[in-house]
Amino acid sequence: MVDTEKILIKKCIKGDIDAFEELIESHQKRAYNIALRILKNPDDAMDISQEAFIKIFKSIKSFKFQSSFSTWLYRVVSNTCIDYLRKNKNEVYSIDNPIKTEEGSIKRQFEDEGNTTEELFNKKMTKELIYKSIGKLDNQYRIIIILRDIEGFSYKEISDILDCSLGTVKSRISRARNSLKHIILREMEQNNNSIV
Amino acid sequence: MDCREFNEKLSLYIDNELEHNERNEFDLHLNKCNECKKSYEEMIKILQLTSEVEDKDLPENYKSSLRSKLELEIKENKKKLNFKLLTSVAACFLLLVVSFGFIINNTDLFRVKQQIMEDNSSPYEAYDEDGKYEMPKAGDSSTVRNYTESDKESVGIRFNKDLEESKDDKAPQESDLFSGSIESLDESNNRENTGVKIIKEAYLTLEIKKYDNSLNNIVTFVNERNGYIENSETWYYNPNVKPEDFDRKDQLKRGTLKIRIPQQNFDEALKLLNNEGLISNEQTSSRNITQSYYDTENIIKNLEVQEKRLREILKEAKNVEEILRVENELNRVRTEIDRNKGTIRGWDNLVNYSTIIVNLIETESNTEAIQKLDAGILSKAKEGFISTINSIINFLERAFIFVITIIPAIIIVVICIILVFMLIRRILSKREH
Repeated sequence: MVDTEKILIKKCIKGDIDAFEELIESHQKRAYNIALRILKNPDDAMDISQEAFIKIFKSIKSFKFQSSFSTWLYRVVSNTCIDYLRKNKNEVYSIDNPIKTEEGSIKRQFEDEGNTTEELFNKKMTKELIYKSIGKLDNQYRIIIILRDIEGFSYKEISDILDCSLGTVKSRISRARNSLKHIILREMEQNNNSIV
Repeated sequence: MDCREFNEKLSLYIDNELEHNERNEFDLHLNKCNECKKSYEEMIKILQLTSEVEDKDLPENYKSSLRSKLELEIKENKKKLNFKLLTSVAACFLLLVVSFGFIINNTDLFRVKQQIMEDNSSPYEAYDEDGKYEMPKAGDSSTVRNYTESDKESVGIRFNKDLEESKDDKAPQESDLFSGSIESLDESNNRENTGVKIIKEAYLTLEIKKYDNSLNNIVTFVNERNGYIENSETWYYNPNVKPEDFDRKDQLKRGTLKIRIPQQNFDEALKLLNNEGLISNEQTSSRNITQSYYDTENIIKNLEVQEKRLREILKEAKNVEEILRVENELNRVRTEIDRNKGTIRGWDNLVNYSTIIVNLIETESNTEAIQKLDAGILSKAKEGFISTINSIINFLERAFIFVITIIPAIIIVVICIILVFMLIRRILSKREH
């Protein structure tokens, strides 16, 4: 842990807002974007990420310097987002559903493999498509894709942030990526069809 | 490694999370299987594009709104803290005041109780002592008079008895004293009074609280000191009540005592009476009769000498006329002797037994029956009111002093409470995480 960070944290404990702003300066954008990707709504992302920062500010006394501050920060942010999603189940994701779709996706993935045209795949796969597809992932997978592939956290960091074992992180990343790939392929097929 | 296993480990391979040997196997398969190679390339492409997803900039007002939210939070937090602190301090203070008040009240209560008991004790005692009080006799003047008379009688009888007893005690002395021989009289006088004859008298008016008690004390004392009550009188009076609605319970007693007590105990008796109540009037007199006493004694001696001679003359008398004249003279001398002896005897009595006349006046009613609602009630209410206010002021004063005195203790207690509070909070927050 960096010494300046320690000093800032101690100032924050005394209620120094300036120190807190300095402390979260480098994390604000990332936290906002994580919230944005998870919640898929800029307003919610702003509210929830700010709520997370306030939580951090309030409970910074209880930060024990055992893990890195950034990991703790993103943990709070992601937990706050997950809590928000749980509370506002606008999109109902039953627990059974993702598993089914996942299984289906794997099956279809193998089935479809032959039909996929390389050209289409290479040319038409764009950033927008990726966005859209990530948005269509289940919460659980979306978060892990965001953390791993967009924000580039290490496996260890992810296991700390999501408070789960390294093995869980590994399998979850694997499944999330497969799920993402399937969604992208399906989207491309639909696009292709609609274009043609 | 088959294609399925390859697919499972693809992600880990990309992230370089595989073991060395697994990685080699994976490489082998990747080179062999075109399908898997294609899948691998697809995934690489997707992930590459994903990582190229650009972070969106923070909204313009993000930082300022966060700042204001944080400031609000701090304010609320302070309020909360202040509130908590205030409540705990207030609770502490309240507790202290209440407990203090309780202690004070208890002692007050205790004291009041004691007072009541003391106040009550007198009428109850009066009740127990005189059985006649237990008979309720509603305002009947005749019975009252009867009672008074009977009371007087009983007292009188008692005192007469005392008198007789004391007289009996004195009887041998007196017979010695007044046996007729001047020598023995002189001897006894010298023995008792060293020749000086002084008559001591006192007149006292005594205000007492408990008539019967005081009377008993006085009578007991007098008896112990070989004195006697020569006369006693007791009656009821109450200046506030008309004789028609006279209830004995309301009544105060008055009395007059004539005490005779050996001269050497005179001062002691005065002291006792002084202790018994408030003396509102006191007169003492000492009359020195030594001169007259010895003059009278000499007169008796002379008369006796004259008597002796007359008796001798009588023996020698020859005719009736002479006898009659001598006897006549003898009779006169004899009478004179007796008269003087009587005076001496009276003086002896007065000198040996000093006289104390005591007026006993009971000043407080010993009743506990319902009293007349009269002038007293308002002033009593006022008194009570004032005393309550005084006790409240007293209490507040004491509370104030107490609080000031224990401020150091309060500070320590508050510090302890705050420490405990902080500890609890820390433990709680630990649990949360």
